[in-house]
Amino acid sequence: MSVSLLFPEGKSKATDTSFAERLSADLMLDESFSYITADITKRRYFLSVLADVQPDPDIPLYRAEILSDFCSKPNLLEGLCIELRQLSELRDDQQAERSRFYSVIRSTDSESAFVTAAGIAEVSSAAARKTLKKLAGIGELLRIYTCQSRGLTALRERVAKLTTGPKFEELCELLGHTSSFGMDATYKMRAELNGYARIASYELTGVTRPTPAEEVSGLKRLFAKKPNGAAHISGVRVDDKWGVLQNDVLSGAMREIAELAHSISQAVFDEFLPLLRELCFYEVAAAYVEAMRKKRLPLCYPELTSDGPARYEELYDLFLCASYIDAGSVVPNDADLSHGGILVTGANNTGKTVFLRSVGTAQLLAQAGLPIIAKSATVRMRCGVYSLYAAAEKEFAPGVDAGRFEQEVRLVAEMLKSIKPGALVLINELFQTTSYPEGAEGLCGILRYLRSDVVGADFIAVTHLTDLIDMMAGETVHMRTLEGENLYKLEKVTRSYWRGIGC
Amino acid sequence: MIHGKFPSLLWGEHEPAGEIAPQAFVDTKLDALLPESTLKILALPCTAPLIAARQEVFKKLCGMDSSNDSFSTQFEALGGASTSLAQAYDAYATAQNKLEELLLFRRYAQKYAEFSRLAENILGCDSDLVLGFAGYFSELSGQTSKLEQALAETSGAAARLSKATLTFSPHGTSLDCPDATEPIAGRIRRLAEELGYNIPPRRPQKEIRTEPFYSEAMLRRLPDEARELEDFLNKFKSALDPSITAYRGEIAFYLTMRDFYRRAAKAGLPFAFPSVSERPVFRLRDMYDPSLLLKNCEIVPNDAEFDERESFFFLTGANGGGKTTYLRGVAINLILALAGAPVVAKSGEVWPFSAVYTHFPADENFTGSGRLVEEAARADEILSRAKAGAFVFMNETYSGTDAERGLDLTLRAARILRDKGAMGLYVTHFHEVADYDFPMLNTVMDPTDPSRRTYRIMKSSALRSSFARDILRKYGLDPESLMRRMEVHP
Repeated sequence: MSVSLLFPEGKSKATDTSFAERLSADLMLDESFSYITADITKRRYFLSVLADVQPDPDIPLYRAEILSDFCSKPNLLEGLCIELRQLSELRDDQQAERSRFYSVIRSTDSESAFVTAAGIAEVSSAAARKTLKKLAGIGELLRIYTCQSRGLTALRERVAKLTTGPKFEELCELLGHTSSFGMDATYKMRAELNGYARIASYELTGVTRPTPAEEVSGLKRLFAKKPNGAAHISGVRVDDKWGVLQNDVLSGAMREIAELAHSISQAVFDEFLPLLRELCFYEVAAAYVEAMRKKRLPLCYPELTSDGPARYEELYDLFLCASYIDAGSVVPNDADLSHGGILVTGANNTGKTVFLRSVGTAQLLAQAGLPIIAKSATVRMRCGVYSLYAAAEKEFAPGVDAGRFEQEVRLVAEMLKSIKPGALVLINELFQTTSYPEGAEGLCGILRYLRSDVVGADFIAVTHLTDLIDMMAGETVHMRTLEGENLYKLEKVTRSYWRGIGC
Repeated sequence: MIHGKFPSLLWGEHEPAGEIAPQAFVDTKLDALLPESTLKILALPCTAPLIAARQEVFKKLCGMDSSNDSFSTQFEALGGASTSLAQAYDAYATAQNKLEELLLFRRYAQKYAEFSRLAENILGCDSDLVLGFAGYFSELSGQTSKLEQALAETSGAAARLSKATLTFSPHGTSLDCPDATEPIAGRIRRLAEELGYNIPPRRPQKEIRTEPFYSEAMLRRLPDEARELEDFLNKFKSALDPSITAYRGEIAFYLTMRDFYRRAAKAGLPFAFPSVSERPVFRLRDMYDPSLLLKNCEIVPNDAEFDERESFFFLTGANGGGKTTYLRGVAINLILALAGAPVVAKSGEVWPFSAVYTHFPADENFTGSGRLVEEAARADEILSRAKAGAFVFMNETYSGTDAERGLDLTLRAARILRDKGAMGLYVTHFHEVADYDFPMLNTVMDPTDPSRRTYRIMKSSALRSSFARDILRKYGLDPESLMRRMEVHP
């Protein structure tokens, strides 16, 4: 029923995000987006969406359509955010008002219960009416802009269904009617007994307010004689006093109206306020697109495949692009990552980790429905992205019961508990905290296990454990970073080349 | 018990064989397993034919006889109907105005008819108790039909008296018949739902009692309907016997016990119907203490065998070896068997004992008299009341004094009970009782690990060991350890 701007109808699926925080930290995503959006709340939400890797290719397409609408109509995004923020404030005000009223009720005797219940009904009805009008305002905004995306079109239709037509007008009118009761009004009620002869259902069927001429108020009302209006009343006259029963049924009926009005407001809040959070994603996404465009960097929506090739042409690292004033100095890389197992080697400070980060970031951006910083790309959809980065010594808190190597082993073990076939594992200098031959042997076993039918995952491993290259010859593709003129560039290494240089 | 014309589903034409003191339910922890109303019935042991008759009912209810599972369903429906009937009667009996009286009497009559109809149609159980019950209501079938017809004739009047329009205005309050106006809240709800707002369903409102003015106004507004219900009340008031409501407790007893056995079965415990013996015996094969259902622990089965030759046992053994559990298990199963209910065991045989007494240690909160005095006072009462046909369970009685005196008192009590012809089981730490002419039961330790309790109880002479084996084993010098050493180094 409710529309999401992040997921097409019925496609929201929770994924394993237990490694999301680590992944985000390893890829320096928060640092990257801090150059784009200063608002930490929005950024965190955006990153949580990014790390929630959804394998369904329709989800990024769905979001890309919406982002495209928002990028071409920035006033729509801003307007929707303002309207929804106002709706959120309306909810806060209503909650505060209800709390005030209910605290009064607790100290109210039964004699004045009707007056208090009528007050709550009036306030709740007026609030519901206001909420509906605000929702109608959102509907108006969505009608002004012509959107192409499925998400915004569905949202427009949903709001229109709720806020247009004679039924909506009638509902607003009724809520207006119940926004003001009075002690001088005539209340008509329907009462029904249950099997135990108790009044179990009591509902207001009509309220007739006195004409201005009949109206008495204030002190005058207190001392006024009851008008002789018996001729206007049908049925059997009963005791001419407000007894406990009258008080109970009237206040009960008022409370029902109050709760009903409140539930209408609540229904609107429950359905539409989550959109405010979702819009945070698009605010950051739109800011990212604008920032990269301003830096004249190429942005492309990659072609998404399920099991095809994976290639990047002129892929840039987001962190470098976002943090460098002169983004033109950032060196892009081409890479064919179609093979499921890739080993990346090279000298220190030649761009191995940057390359790994740029691939990981692009993967997340692409699956989140955002353009990536590249000339062109084909990205394979993953059902999860994991990072296994060697931790620095300082990251291990005092009192931890295991050494660095054991911690890394634990990390791998944890990941293997949740990993699914088709995941991508980004490995950076793992198992270098033990002797290199033993580390290589250990890592080789893990990499083979990842690629096996049992796990069925792909990996890109940046490593200094060169023994791995021979150990896994034929099972992996080997890439290395270059130095000198081609510093920060990568190339695929053939077996003969490797042997030729005597390694 | 049902007094009046209705045949009891618990007792039929029988009388209880005796009475079990309420303390027995506390000591055996049955009071934590079953409600008080059930314990009150368990407190009245049955005669042999009544045990057999109730067993027939339980066999059908507990699924021992799968030929007719529908009896359990019918009986459950009857239980529901008896509860509704009792509630309807209670409501009618406390009516506060004329409108309530008329409507609630009609409801009571309706529930009366529903119960009677279910009762006459209950099939599938050959117990005299059920046959007598169903037969009685079959004979009333004609009267039930008349009642049903009158109920159908007055349904319109009752419905009209149950709805009203109230008008509260500064001119006064009035009551009238309802019109077709849609309530405001109903309209709001309908419109919101039709538009597609996701709002929760209507919640029940607080029930409000009608005040006398409401009743009076309603009866004045609809005098014909009021007269119709008044006539109905006058016609049937004397015909409906409120003692019928006692069936609620009787049926609840059977259903509560059935649920108890279901719970035991779910925990993997067996249950069986003990055969009724003509000689004083109580035998159980693979018996369990169902009070252990209250704990989440391993439950070990044991046998019990009491007869004329060995009628009074002492039980001794290691602490924590399961003595009290065994005693409680035997006592609970005896109480169940005497109520005609299944025992929690693989099989059993019971003689209809007329009384069950228990004597367990009390909390140390005596009023200055001392523990022994308190224990002795309670024990003396049991010793004086118990006679042939009673079963006495004593747990560490007289442990509040020195060994010599305690042993004397213990033996004295056991002899008095045995001489009176009572059966019994006496748990004690006075191992010397084995030197006297009483059969003995003992806790069994694991032969491969003598420190481990098996919670098994077997007939044997008393253990006099101080468990020195545990200490030997700790240093690898117990027989098994020495044997293993020899095997390794022959």
